[in-house]
Amino acid sequence: MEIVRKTTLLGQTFLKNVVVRSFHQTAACCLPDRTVYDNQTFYENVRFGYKRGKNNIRNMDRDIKFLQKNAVQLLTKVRIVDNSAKALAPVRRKAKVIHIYHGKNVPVRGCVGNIVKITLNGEMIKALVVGQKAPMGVLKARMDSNNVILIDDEGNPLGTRITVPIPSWLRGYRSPTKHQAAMSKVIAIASAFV
Amino acid sequence: MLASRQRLFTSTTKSSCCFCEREFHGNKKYAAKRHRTPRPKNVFTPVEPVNAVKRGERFAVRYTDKYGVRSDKFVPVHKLPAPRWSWDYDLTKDNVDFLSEIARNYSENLQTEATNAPLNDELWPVHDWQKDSKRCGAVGIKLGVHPIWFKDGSYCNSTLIQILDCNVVKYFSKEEYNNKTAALLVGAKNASPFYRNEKYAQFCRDAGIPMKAKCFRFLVTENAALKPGTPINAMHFRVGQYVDCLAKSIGYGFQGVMQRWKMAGGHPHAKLWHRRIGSLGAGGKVIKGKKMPGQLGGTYENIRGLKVLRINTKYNVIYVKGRFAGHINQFVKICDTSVGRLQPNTEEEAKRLIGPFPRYIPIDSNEELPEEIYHDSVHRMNDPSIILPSTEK
Amino acid sequence: MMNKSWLFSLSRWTQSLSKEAKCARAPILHLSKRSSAFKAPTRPDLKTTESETTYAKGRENPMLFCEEYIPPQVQPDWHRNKLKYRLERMDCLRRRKAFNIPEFYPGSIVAVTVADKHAPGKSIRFNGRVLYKDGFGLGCKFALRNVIDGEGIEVVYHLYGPYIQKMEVLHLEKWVDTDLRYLRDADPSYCTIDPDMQPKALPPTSVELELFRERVKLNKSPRWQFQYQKHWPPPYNADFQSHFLEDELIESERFSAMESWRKYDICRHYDVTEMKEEIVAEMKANKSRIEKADSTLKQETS
Repeated sequence: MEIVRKTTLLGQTFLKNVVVRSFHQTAACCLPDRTVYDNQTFYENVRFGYKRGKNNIRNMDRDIKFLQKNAVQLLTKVRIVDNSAKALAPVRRKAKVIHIYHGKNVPVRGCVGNIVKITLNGEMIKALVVGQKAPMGVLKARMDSNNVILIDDEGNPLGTRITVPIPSWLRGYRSPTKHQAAMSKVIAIASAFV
Repeated sequence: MLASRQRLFTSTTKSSCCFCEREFHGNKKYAAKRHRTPRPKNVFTPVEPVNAVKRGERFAVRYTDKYGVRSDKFVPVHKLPAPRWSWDYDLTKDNVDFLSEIARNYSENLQTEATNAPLNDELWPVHDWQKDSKRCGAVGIKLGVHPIWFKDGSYCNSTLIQILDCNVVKYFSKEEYNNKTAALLVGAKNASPFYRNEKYAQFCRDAGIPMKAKCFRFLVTENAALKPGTPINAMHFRVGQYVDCLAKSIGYGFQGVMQRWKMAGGHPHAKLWHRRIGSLGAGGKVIKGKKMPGQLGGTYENIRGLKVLRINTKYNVIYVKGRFAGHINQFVKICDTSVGRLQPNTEEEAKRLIGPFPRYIPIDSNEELPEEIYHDSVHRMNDPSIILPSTEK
Repeated sequence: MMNKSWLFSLSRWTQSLSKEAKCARAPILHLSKRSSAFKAPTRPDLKTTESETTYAKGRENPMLFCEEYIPPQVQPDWHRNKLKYRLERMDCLRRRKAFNIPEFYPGSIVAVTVADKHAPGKSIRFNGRVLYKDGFGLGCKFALRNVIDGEGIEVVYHLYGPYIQKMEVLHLEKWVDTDLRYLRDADPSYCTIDPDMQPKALPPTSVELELFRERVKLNKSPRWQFQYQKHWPPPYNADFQSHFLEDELIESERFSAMESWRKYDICRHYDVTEMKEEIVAEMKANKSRIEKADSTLKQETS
């Protein structure tokens, strides 16, 4: 696919004969350089009013209030970050959330700190969410995956170590619902905090 | 606007109508109305705005075919532009410039007169605060929102309100108003003396202040009466007190049910049912209070119980915790909060929960105020970083 | 050419404000107008410590000009308020006087120490690569990304947040792109940073920074669900050859051919050259203004 372009702007001819071959090459000639555009700074990709859109940085803050509470829902795939025997066993199918303990009538969505029920190798186990993919706002860490650790019915962790860092604010966290995990034990087995 | 004025002055011939020099190209049905209108005589005592004057001009430009030729097709009355009347309708350009120059000085001269003469002559007596007495508020302008940090490291968004050229315009006594409460009319932002209602212009002339762009009415008790012309600034409020903010929300016009009530709508692959409302009811009846399409925004919204965190006395800016409706540069009515648990019962509480009663009066007129006044919990930006005290022992 | 109308559409009170800024820029009266034969010897240029440091092209003095001092492009113009921008910039300068905020760009590696009430030492440290820096004035935020124990972690901070106790630039780097969130799809080695990394020597401010022009290969999986092929402009430092599926590659070619005219859309360009001069003059005047304002504050407290 080849397109030859010749354009003039304000009497100045520049970027003559741009050959558009493929996407990454287009990027090279299309995207203006900071040094080239020093006189007339190109802020297109940074700021142009407030563009509406899901992936615009400026608009992300608006969604955060919604997202940070609604990070995990039914059938969300989660990663188990735990060294318990059930977590280390070979996985046939990825673990999924099947219930969220809210203390409310409609348990649909949850976030970090909530207790969930997951399926793991055809077995139903309780788990505590210790990391989420959805943005958490300022000063709260966002992970690349939804992380959980396995707990028993009384809220005690099954494993002896958490393999990834967990959010620092969990140290002062106490769930407002009646479903409580033993947070002091969870924090004791954490490897790192962010 | 300016361009259209100049065009008016340059074109001298082809006056088809006694009132306008320009030829009227629209439907003659509407042009005929213009002859019924009275002619304005004096600039400073304008007549009531006239309905049909200048009506045809806009829609004639609007309803053209693709070659720019004005068409005579029927234009419904409700689609016509709003009636407008300008004071400089048949003046030369020199006269327009001369009058606008006078207008520019008019407000400044009046301001000095107002601050010197009528206020200092005979001040109204200042009464003490009593229980259930209500104080006057202020009219400001919403500047925007930015974060503000507290000393414990947390932050919140605060809204900036500027109190701009705020004066008391008129006082209505109890008998004059409704035999229940007295009322105060407070205006903000100096405006051009033209384009004003005669009745309203007389209020400002009596008070000795320039015309105000926006006025709000405050219901007050009689012991909080203020003399017309009294200026109100940011020190009218106290750091730490709670206020109510009333402003006009952003108008979105007539909107559908998805935008207005956040209904789900249909699936994009559906055939005919995309952004529509669902069932309205059954049995030949519509459910009462059913959410339907309609006007979204553009209404006055009151937000109660916003805390004042910081005051800038130089620019008369108040920093309020939280947000309220309205776009930037929107007029805001600020008054002491009506939240029940924040009402003062004793005089000591009144000194904490509401501002100075009935208004801020400097003890020494030559005393310089501190430019920035912060609440105790707010972190000052010129202080070093926050270091939390350690609890370990 | 761009957006000059806001200059004219100011009301009276803003006009008086802009007068102050103009006065600050005006030169001092020269005495040479006096008619006499005597000529005063030229005064040697006594440079203060601040003026000794020279700043290269593209690296401004942060006390005078920063990217976050530029207000966002908002239309129509009466939806912006100049006074709010001035007040916010004054607060930015107050913070910069109290705390040294180093210069860094998206792509450089930064370590931040933050006050944290949950930590035993009441502070917590995190380092990582800067993904983006965005926002006006006090609302300016930046995001750090680091991969610890195989888990990608991102934290957002306010640039002017007083909770930041220490901020050090471990490696100063400037990429062509300003939004590097595509690094989530790239090899984790780009964002894997040792928590005990020692800072590298920073280039002096008089040297112009070289842009990072290499290409980062994006993996096929895992995916961040951002549809790069439908957004314009495409990033410079990202290589999508192995990332895209066949359909997406065709779509991206079609899209880039269709949308490349946007480069010549002048309305999308945000020319800040005039605004920059105003801001620099304003920030110079702000210095003395802040000192005066804060001196009254101290009297009040003491």
